[in-house]
Amino acid sequence: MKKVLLYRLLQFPLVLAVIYLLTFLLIWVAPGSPFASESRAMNPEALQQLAQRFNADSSWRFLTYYPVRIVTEFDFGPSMVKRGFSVKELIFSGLPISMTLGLAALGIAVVVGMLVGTLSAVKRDGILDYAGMTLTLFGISVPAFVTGAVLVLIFVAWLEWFPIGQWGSIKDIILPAIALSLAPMAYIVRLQRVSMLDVLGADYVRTARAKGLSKSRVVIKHCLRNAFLPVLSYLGPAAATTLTGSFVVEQVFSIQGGLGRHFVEAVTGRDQTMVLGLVLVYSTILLAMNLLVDVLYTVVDPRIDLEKKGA
Amino acid sequence: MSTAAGHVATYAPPLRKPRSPAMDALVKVIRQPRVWLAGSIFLAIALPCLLTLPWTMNPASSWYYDAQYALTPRTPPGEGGLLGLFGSDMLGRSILTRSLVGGVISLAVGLAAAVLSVVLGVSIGLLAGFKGGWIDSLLMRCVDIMYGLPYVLMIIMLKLALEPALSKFFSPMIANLVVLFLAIGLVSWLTLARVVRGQVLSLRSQPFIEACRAVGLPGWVIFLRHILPNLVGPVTVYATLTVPQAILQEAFLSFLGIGIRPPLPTWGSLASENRTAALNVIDPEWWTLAFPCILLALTLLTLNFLGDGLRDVFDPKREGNKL
Repeated sequence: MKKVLLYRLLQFPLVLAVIYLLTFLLIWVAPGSPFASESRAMNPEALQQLAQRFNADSSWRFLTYYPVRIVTEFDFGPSMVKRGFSVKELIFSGLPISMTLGLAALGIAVVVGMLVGTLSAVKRDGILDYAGMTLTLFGISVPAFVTGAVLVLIFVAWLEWFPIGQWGSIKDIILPAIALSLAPMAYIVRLQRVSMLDVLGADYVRTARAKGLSKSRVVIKHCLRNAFLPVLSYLGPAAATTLTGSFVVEQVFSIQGGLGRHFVEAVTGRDQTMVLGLVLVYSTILLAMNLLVDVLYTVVDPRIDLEKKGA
Repeated sequence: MSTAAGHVATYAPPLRKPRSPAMDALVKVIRQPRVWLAGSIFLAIALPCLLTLPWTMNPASSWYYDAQYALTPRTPPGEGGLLGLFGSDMLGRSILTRSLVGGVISLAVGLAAAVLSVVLGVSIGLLAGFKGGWIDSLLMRCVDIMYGLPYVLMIIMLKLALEPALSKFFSPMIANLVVLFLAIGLVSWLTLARVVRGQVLSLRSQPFIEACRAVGLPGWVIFLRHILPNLVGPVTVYATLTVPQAILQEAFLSFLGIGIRPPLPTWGSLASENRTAALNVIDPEWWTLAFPCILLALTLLTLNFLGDGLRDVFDPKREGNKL
């Protein structure tokens, strides 16, 4: 296991380097300059000078200058469009917002998803089962901006229970987090239900019931842990869904300063340093999440480690 | 047919000619009620969108998708005849005609992207599974790395990078559409490639393929006659599930304002352009957002439903614990 972990950790910078190169290539191919403005033509010399100030006068800078700065000082350079801000500043101010939102959504998705999934497996073919399955189909099919809009119309415009466009208190997080959680929640319900059904049919569950344990005790003590594995392996992709899904949710709920908003603005404004920085930060979070899931896998199910050694 | 040893194989012909696997699958699909239900709802949405194209794309018609002041601006739904069935936006454009054209574009981009990703996924999966060796490891490592990428970001950046190159060959409007489906298709083949590779690997080790080799069939015959037909099931299922995914991605991009260029509508861009008017707390014009969103959600719902139905047909093992 340690070997695998070490291998993955060594792969980490390599994958990030590939991502950096890919991103750089795509930015480099995309036309348009972050300094040119559409409304007025600019003096080519002034453009050149501006580019020089941002170390963007030559594409090679992106291959020689920035990687070194990023590795040594975690410095992505200044934002090319939001003058006066460094990419690092912008990312560190936006990261807490997006992370809180993403983690809250992921938390809701896991807790509610596992609860509904378990219950619909235990009470198979019951009302809850059918209701749960219908709801998951909705969760998978309805985009976050639609559910977000519906939530805003009902809870903000009609019932006036929640404010909109603010950020700070728990009340501001609830609605966006719910809107963001529905898609991963739907997947978790389905995964949990299927794996629970598998576990419920296992011999050791029958044994546990036969020796007189109550149904709830068997489900909680014996089944949950075993049924958790598929859900766990989905957490990596789920983190990706919630992180990038927050682009849309931030727009629907007019949340200012989040990373999603920054990314869209950076892409449309050709803010090259900002795009590079954001892609790297996103990829790091994703890779770290996938690694964490792999580690947790062996914690939840110690057999996995043994199987690997045996093989 | 005699073999080298002069031994004549005895072979009793079956009483009834068995249905071919393809026919068998088709019959099973047709018998599945979910496929019927989802298919007819999908057609009920897609056909009107397609059939009204001659009017909605004709600038002279009052049903033109960009006809401003075709209705009084901000008309609620129901006032203004059939054209005003879904109401109008702040420019007086009918939400109905815009939703119809938006539907065509959303579906077309979604289908094209899904086709591209299926072609890519199947061919890469086949190549990796059938050839094996270093080709397999190389391709699968690439897939692993791409899985680690934030793929929505990749779609966005691919679109930015490809658009200018394609603008040289097509008109800007067409280039915009082509880039959209290319960008989505180029990043969504990963799962399918893995599934196809896994299938090919498990098929290759099965006795009937071994028998084919023993008989001396050339590789391409085994491939075409015995491997490909066995892949139809999983590929159909994943392809049906890729279409709603692609439509969702397109809606997502257009909602963020990086997808389709206005005034051309898609369901996602309609949701985006009407969002502020519809979510206005004081006097919400809900209809401008509601109808495109309902159509989008309903389409995705039926396509996912269809995919689930097909999965039950092609994967009877899962029937015990139906999703």
